[in-house]
Amino acid sequence: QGCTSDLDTQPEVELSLDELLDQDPNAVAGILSRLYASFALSGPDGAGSSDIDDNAGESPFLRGIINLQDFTADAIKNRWGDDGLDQLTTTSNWDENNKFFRYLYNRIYYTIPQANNLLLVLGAVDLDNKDQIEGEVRFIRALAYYYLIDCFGKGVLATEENYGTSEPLPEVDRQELFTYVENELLAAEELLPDTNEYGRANKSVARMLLAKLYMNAGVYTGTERFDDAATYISKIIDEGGYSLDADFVSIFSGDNFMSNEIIFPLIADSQNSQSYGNTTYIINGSLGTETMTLSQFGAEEGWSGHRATKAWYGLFNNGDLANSTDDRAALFWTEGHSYEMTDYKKWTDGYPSIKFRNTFYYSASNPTSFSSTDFPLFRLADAYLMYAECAVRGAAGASMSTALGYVNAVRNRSNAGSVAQSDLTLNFIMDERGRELNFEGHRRSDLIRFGKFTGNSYLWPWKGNTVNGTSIPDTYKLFPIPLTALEANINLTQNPGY
Amino acid sequence: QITVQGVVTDATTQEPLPGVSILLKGTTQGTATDFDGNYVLQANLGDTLVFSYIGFQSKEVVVSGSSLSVVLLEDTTTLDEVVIIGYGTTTVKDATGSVSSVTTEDFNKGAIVSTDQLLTGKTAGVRITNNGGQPDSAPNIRIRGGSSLTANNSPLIVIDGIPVDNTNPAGVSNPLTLVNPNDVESFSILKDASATAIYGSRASNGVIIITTKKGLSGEFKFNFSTNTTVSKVGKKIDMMDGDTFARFIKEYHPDYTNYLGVDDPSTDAVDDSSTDAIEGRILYNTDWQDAIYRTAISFDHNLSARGSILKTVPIRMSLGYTESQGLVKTSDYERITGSLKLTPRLLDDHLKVDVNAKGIMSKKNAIDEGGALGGAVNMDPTKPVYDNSYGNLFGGYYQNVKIEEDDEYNITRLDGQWNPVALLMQRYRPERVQKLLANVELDYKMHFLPELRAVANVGIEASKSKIKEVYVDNSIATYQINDTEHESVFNEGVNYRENQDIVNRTFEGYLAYAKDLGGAINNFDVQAGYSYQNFKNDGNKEIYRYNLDTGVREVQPNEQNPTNRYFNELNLQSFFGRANINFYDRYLLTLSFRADGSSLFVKDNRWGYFPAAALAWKVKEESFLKDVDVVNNLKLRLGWGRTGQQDITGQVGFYPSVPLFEAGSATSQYLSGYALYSAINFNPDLTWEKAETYNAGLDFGLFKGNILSGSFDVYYRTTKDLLAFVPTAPGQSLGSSFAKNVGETESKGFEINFNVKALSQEKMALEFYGNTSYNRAEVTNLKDATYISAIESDIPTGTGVKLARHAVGYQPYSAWVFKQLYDAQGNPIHGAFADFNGDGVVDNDDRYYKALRPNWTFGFGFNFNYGKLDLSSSFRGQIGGQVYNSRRLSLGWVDKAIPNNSNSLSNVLDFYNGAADFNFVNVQGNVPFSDYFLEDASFLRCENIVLGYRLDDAVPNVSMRFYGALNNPFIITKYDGQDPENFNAIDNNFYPRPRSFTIGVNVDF
Amino acid sequence: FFTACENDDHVPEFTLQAASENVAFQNTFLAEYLLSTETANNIAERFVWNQVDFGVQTQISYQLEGSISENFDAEPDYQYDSGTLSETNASVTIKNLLAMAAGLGLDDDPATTDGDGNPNNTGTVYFKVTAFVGSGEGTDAVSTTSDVEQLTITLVEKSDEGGSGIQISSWGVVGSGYNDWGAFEDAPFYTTGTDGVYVAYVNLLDGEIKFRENNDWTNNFGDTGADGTLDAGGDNIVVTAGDYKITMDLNDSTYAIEAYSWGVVGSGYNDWGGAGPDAKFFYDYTTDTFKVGVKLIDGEIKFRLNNDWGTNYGDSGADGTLDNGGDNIAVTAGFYAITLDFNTGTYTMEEASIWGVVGSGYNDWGATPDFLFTEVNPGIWIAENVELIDGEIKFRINEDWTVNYGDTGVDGTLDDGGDNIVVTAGTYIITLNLTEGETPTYSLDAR
Ligand SMILES: [Ca+2]
Ligand SMILES: [Ca+2]
Repeated sequence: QGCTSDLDTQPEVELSLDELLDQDPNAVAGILSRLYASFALSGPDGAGSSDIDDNAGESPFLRGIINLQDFTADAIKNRWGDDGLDQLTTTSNWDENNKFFRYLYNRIYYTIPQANNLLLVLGAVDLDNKDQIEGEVRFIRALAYYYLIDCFGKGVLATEENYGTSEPLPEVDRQELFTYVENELLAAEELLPDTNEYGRANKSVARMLLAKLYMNAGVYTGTERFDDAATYISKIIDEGGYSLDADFVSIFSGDNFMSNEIIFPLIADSQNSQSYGNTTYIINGSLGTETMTLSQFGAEEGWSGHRATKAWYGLFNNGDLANSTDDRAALFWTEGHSYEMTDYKKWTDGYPSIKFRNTFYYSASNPTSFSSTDFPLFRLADAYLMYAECAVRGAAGASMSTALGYVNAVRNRSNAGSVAQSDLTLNFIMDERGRELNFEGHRRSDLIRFGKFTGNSYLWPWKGNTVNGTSIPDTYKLFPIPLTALEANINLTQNPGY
Repeated sequence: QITVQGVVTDATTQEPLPGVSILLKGTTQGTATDFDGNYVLQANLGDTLVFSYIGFQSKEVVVSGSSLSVVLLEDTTTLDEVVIIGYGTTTVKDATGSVSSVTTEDFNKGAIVSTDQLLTGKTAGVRITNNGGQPDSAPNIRIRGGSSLTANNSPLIVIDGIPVDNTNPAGVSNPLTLVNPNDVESFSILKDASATAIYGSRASNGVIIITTKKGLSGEFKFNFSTNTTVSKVGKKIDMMDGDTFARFIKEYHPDYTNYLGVDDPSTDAVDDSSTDAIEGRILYNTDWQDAIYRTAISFDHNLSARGSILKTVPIRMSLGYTESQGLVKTSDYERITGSLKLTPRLLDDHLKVDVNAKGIMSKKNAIDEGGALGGAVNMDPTKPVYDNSYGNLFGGYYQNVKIEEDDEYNITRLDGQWNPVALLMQRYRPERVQKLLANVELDYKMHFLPELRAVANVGIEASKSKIKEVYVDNSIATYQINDTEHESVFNEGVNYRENQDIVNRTFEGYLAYAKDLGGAINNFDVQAGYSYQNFKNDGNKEIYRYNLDTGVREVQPNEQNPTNRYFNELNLQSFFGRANINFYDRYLLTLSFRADGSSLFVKDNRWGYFPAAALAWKVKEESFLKDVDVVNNLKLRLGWGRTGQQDITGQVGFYPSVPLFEAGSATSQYLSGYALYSAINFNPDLTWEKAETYNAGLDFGLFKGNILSGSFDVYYRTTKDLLAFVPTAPGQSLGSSFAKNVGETESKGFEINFNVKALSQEKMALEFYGNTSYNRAEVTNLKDATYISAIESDIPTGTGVKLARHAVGYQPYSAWVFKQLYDAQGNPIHGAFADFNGDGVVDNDDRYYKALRPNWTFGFGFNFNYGKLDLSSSFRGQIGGQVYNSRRLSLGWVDKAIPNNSNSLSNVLDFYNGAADFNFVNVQGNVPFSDYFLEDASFLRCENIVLGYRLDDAVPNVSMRFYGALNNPFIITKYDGQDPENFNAIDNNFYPRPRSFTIGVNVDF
Repeated sequence: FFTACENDDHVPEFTLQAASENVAFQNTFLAEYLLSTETANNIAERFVWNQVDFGVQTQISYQLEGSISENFDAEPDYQYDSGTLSETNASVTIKNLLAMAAGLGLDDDPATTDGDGNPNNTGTVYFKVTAFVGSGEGTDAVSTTSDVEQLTITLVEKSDEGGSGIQISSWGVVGSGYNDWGAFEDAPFYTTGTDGVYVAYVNLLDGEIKFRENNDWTNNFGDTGADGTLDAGGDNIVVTAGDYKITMDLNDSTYAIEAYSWGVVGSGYNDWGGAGPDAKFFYDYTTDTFKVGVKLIDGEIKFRLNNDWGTNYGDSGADGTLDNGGDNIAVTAGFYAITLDFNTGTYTMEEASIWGVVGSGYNDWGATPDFLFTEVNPGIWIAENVELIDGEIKFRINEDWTVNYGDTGVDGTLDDGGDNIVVTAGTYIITLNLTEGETPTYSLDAR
């Protein structure tokens, strides 16, 4: 019987929690690092590894956000013709089999239990900054849930409370998820510090997410919460200590970790944080050797994938980019490309966006295979425009004159010229958000909030899979729940229309 | 008394038979033939001598003179033939379980490189499908279809008493290459649970016991065999040739004609697509498949010796050398095998010692199969293989490039498909493995109580693997651009290394008590024992990265795990017992029980208990049959047993039940200043999968000399607590999928084996054999789910897209597809499918299931001897089953020719000759799930045709046999693609099985 | 036991048949589709067709296509594509047809003609519907296509006479949709070139209106049954907020209300519409032109109808003539009076003194731009829908205090540098009447 103890085999590479804590005094921060990393990296062992079953290259979180928020909207179209991606680009034929919905869904539900696990770990360790880390974990989890609310509208509520339950959890609706995330963020806001290390959450980061939740509350719950949104945006602006960077391009360059505008980045590093799903996807995907020079943008590869449409660059000087004073109008590659996107699968139809690049802004740099440009998930200009939108929508506590100041600050930074208070209409805000924030993962949500995503009140190239755009049904405001999820939890139900 | 002497020979081969037992009938006096088949015996005229030898029909001859030579006829179902079962042996006539025995004379012949090839198609209920034509191709062996959904479905393999590892050492694809096929004496296949339960934990999928040849008493005899095999590719994929492709591009993609061929340096012309000619381009006509394939030549040499040391210690030694070329260039395989077997009997035969040692050294050049096979079909046929122009960067190989023109510099970037020939020639990746399997078995019959034996078996299975991947100078795969220096950099040199040590230790010991009583309980034996197995796999990797400045690859540092070590350990321990009771020499009862513990599970779930019972009724022994000459043998078997499965290491590793963390690698760090750690998914509830099998069997031997013999088995099996790798409920585990005990399947089937001795004369013999089996499994319960996706059913339409499911109410691994609609001419209509539920929308609700794996498999063949000439052939095949012709999906659509992000073209199937359908302009949405891509996978394959001729005494005391063999000469199938025999039923980047011709000679001296 | 032999493979082959019947339009078409930018968002036609059966139960898809080419091979901008439909109808808007009209080179300017000298405002467009199975791609697509339907589209030409003959008629618009049933003067109808046809350009609120003569209920029209015919004393006409052109034809007792407002758009004004609505032109019956007072910044502008690019004018060649879809008009910062004259196809743009509203009751005494007036008729300045808050206002020129009016004595007459005018919160139409040089007056009409 003595030998039966050999049945307790011990790993020698992987570590138990106790071993980990013994070995590395920063072990908990290391686990936390992995939670943040879940939004940018694909897996623990380089860009070819995946935390989830899905393809390492295609399934990272940020890539999912770009695919689902930007390709489906008016500004960016992809031409690869991959099954599933075309359907996003043309907002047509969406179904539960589309793997790109699954990728984001799986990422969300990878991140959440990892966060739950860390919360339980926290309960078992001694740490000086436990509260802060708890706040960070709860923020990260809330961020994952936010995308669940925004994209899928329902799901299960997996928390540290029900962690480890093997019975399938019940489905909860959007309202319930909303309330949960709201409360989590309010709690996290209390726990988080005013400032934190680079890439980590602080009070402003939590407030930004809270504000985004409130901005879209009308969509999510049927009850508008612009007053609350304005409250938290004001706090970020007034207390966060952020300022607009002087040059728009610097925010999207390889050394944008120096930005004082970025509130919450998703970090990329050409050596230490490699992923096909961070800004590498945006930058390499927007470059094509057929018409562009890679080294000019600090890249080693051009994937000839994404181009903007006139729905974006048409917002600048009526599409006359050459004569626009707006610096942002210069961030399209027009040479060799046509203004119209007659065939979205043709690389030269439409202008690639060169907003993101892997060159450094403040110094010289070498091209690299992977991008070093951090993704500004939240930044101050967004907060300014959110404030302005609240003001225009009549939110209590948001004044039009302050709003005008913010909008003009954003515009004047790019030499776009001031506007008058009377110009601040919802349509203007929507367009300004496009000019300023397109390709930053917000567009689909914005269009839905402005009532422009579905139906035919606003058509853009290839909406509904026709060149001039056509109406799409309201059910497209939510993505289908992926089939694998329905398979794995019998309590989950499909969204209407799928 | 007179001295009788003579020689005993084999009727078929006319070879002398050593070790034939000769008894004076009615006495215990006798002798045995020596190695040359000679015997000497004292007997009286008129005495009857009984000549018996395993595998031959006994013969009784009356002594009528001093010289008496005897010819023995082979008997494929000799009832006394020893059958090896777990922890002991039995005989055919006493076996209670469903056991098939395949011995030397049944083996496949011809170009046999690995041991599994000996067995293919030879016995009912065993389906062996290799992964393709690689020299080291992995066999997928399924006995009765396998019992699990996603856990390991391979049978347990026991080599000379040692259950071997399921995990292959790095550099080995086929675990059975460990045994030189020339050394194999017999296979014993345990199919039903009553037979396998004694192996408990790893026996749910059946057991294959391999026994190697032994030494013999007497003088040393030698055997030398050598053969040479020439192989060619059978069927290629029907791609367009250069002219057809140019026509296709002109017709369907006229904007792209300037991508055809290569630039004509003598002109600046740009093609005008409105004219027929292609201006400004030089068009080649390259068959890229021909370019990567070769006529492969392989050699196999073996030398063995058997005899006895000091006349008392039988020994057999062998040495083999194989040099095998794969059909794909540089796919080379080299192997040296050695074996040693000592089987002394000590202490007055009370102690049987069995010492085995088998060693192998192999070296394989692992090619980039996907790159080469995929590249060969994708590569534009109007491009040349070589480019000898001045300024070629890539070692003389053509490569499509894009010149990026800067103001000052021209940068050459790789573009489009990489030249697949260069891929093969510019990288070498020797994978060297040394492996040893050794064991000592001591079988001690107690002096004080001869009925009691103690058996101990200690074994070790150890291997050392070394893998190195090296790029040669100027290889395309290492081409980089230093953008700051505006220059090309090749990073040749070592790219990857891996070293791995596997040490598996086995100890088994049992006590066996056997007693002949002669009464109602004629005899019985009982055994009780303990088994310990430990599998340890410890390795490390060196991963290299580019250095654009030095141009030399450098090691990628990894702070958290500097050597990229991996370490896996599995421990299995068991207690087992068995009783065989023989009532009236007619009723045989076997009871067994085994308790197994696995380190994969937590303490509370660790132990599984596996009982079994079997009853055999030797009907022939009943009085009403005893004297019926027509019936030589009739035995009815009934069995029941439970077996277990725990091997899910392939999907979830070796520590799946406990919470662990892993450190992120150097390139997967995030927050600055902190090492990154991920919590690894686990499932503490994991426990044994259990299979329960009912089996009924009938063994028969009919007519004089067993002209017709065979067996028939039916079975019913249920598997519960299925260990499956399934998507986990979202948010409820640390990943998106994990192993879980999810549900139940049931399977039923039957098997028939038969053998007909059509002719059995001294000069001429003709024997047919055949087998067929039917197996149908069904998923009956999946707990909370109604289906799980089959993870191995990826179709090449982007990763992660699964074709098949295991769905409740259907056969496991059924394709979940749409019903394609066709026009009146029979052309499929792109994207048009039947709306089965009539709601006007085609969606997942309209998909149906179509089982992919065949229900029927069969094999048959014949052996014919005429004098010194022998001719044999074997065939096998399947009826039903589907294969997904993914070439049609990945290469059979019009827009496929236009690549996504390059300035080059991609070849497609030949639309003009019907290999693909012009209707398929793209393959999106529901299209990949069309049943149009499924084709009937029924086939009949001729496995081999062998013609041999024996030449005796051309040289004194030397016997030679010359032979020629055709392997895989033809296949009859309706399948349009390359080869319908595809284990996962998805035909993609398939390494073709060669058509081979072998000539060889086998010399005994 | 052998029931296990059931085969999953017994689903028969499915062969599509020819369509049970051809697909065909089932709606009736008008002889002529009259297009005007005012009605761009209206549905021009709802195309309806029959359901088709291809002999196999499957998903049938439809696609409605329109083109200016009988072969449906025109530029994408001049084609209509419904995308893939599962229903058997689709509606096409006037806007869709206007795009085709542009492709045909039609215009609504009576001054232009085609090569033969005929009015170039009428053309033919083509529509067809296809029913198909599957994706509709591939060479052997099983489909059926309807006959091509030819539709005649006609752009409504603008009245061809100069403005001199136009008068304010006796008729006006009254109602909760305009002036709270007469709280201030009704909005006038103007005469047109045709007797009995009157037109009003009016900004309406959500509510109801009627038409009456002489600000008096004696003669009034409503529309009982909301059928577009005028009924004396009939029901009120429900309207929604917006700028409209109301045409009343007393010859056949019909009327039409169309969205209608010309505006200034551009980087020189509202970031091409991104920064708010266009600057609206007001109708000047005295010249039959449209006018606006506007503050521009450096940039470019164009003029367009209904805040939409469907109809827009620029000035190719910078020659002062309006060009449909023409080049942008470069402008420099300043205060301008712009006049559009569709009778001559010209426009004028002059730097001008533009009155504006300033004050605590409006823009915190100039924290944001003043609300500018437009001189709609000589000396008559109108500021429409000024949202005042409780406070005080004054009027000044070009956002500068050099010239400013208040109202000392609260007597309705304006006083140079006079007292601030106390206002209460609300939306007002403010009119300055500077025709009598000595006694300029003003009115604040709350809506
Ligand atoms: Ca030509
Ligand atoms: Ca249906």
